[in-house]
Amino acid sequence: MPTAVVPPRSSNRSWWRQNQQWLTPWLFLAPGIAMFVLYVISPIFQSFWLSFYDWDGLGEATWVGTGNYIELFDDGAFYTSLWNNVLWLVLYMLAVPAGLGIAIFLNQTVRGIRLYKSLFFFPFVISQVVVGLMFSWFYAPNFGLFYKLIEWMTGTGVAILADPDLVTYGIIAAGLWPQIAYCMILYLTGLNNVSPDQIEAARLDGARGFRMLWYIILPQLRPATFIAVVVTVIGALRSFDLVSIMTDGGPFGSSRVLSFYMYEQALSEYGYRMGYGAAIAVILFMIMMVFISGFIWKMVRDEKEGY
Amino acid sequence: MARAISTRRKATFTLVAWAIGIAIFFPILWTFLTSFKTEAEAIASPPSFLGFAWTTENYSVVMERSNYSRHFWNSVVISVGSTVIGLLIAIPAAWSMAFVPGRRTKDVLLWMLSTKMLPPVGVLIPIYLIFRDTGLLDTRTGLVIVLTLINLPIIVWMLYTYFKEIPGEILEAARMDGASLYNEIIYVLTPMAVPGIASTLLLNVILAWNEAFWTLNLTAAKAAPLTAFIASYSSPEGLFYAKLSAASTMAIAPIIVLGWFSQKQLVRGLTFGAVK
Repeated sequence: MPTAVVPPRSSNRSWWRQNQQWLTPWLFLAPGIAMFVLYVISPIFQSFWLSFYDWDGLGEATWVGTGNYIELFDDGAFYTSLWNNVLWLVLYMLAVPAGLGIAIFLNQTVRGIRLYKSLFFFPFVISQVVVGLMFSWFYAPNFGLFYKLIEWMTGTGVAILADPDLVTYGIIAAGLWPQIAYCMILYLTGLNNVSPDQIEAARLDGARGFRMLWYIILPQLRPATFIAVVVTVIGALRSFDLVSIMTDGGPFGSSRVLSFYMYEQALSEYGYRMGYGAAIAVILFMIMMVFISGFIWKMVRDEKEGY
Repeated sequence: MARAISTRRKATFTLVAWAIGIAIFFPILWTFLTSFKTEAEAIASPPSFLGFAWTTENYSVVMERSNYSRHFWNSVVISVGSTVIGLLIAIPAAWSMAFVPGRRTKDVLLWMLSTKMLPPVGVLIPIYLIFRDTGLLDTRTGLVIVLTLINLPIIVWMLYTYFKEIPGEILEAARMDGASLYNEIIYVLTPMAVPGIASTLLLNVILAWNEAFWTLNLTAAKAAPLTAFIASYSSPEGLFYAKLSAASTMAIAPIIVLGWFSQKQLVRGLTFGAVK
């Protein structure tokens, strides 16, 4: 960074003149970074710190060391929630190939493409709350459309949201609906940029089907895939919204995810155990750190290869 | 002969394509239709699609009973407020990253974006405590602050991708012609950046409008926007599906209308400028 020497006679103003070229970018970045550190980074450390205390949020906090974590490892509800989180992440990822599949299928001229794209566009812009409600009605026993469909096909309807073994899958399906639509739009837009020459050349060389997709089309869709994965992971973490709208963690806590369990422990009428809640948050956080580090590592590597 | 086959194939394709599209759109359509049914018809078996007595009663009941307009206004204030403040912070930051990139610029960007991938519960307790102690719980100000910060990485990222496209040579030329930094930003950069800023604004309004996690956790009756209002409406009024549909329709209508008119920018926005 160039450090300009201030001439003795110059006023403040000309010092600014000389240095504004390199100083301005830093001044411009400052508010963003400051806000970011204050409200995102510092609470993260606070969560870590809180997790070593037993505290109801009002009175004295007592230091319990790793007590909260030891309790967590014996807590059945914690494992149920953790397992559901894994299910969410894994099944949610299906939205990426599903969206790609639909996009490739539709990558031809459909009559009324503009209106058509809107149909896929709308699910993604409506709130998760509304998505949750819509699917709750579909699953509702006796009159829900999905219940009716199952009843019509198998003879007996299944009340998905009341079944501890199926409830999480039911909620994930609701979340997948806007997510698939999103990935599909993403890939459909991305496919416009795929070079027809390369496809033609590959075809002349005898590539078709899966090999064509894997070696020719997918590499060109890399930016789209990157965003699809990022947004899908973010989406899977929003599981809290759907769980709290559709089942409130039930039946018998079987659809809880870690974020919801933490909320129950720390901030709901079930208790105000801030330390225990913070410990849950920290665990969830650690898991995501693994994902994110892997992801960033891959990004940096790709960058070096110079894509 | 070959031609006839290809026409038929094309027709089949169009049909299948539209079937997929309508299946995807169906839940929204169904909610819309249900909002015009009576409560009895809403849970009728077998369900009726169009052949029911249309009524707008649900809408007037929701409007009368539940202070809809206040929650609507909360939504507007929170989403617009957080977007404007977010842009004010993000525009300079994105400008720096796009036009004066350093060795670490890419890392800073990725780092910001990666925090979006962290679960928001990781910071829920500290923020809840800060809000409780500063009296920001259940206030619009509090929500504006938290939503600004939550969406800031996305705003910076999007603006960055837009700014990146503005050729640096133009700015260079203006500088050569003796434009000061201020003039350069106001007269040269801004006109070219407006479309990008506009789409970022739109996208962020929609994200903030739909936000549920923070609004559910940090508000009660007073500052609750539409999302939290609908969520609360669903529990005590449990079985009134037609009214709930009407409330939902009203909550998503502004976004659907806004989205329809700005689809192209939004697709680009929602895909973070990764694809054009």
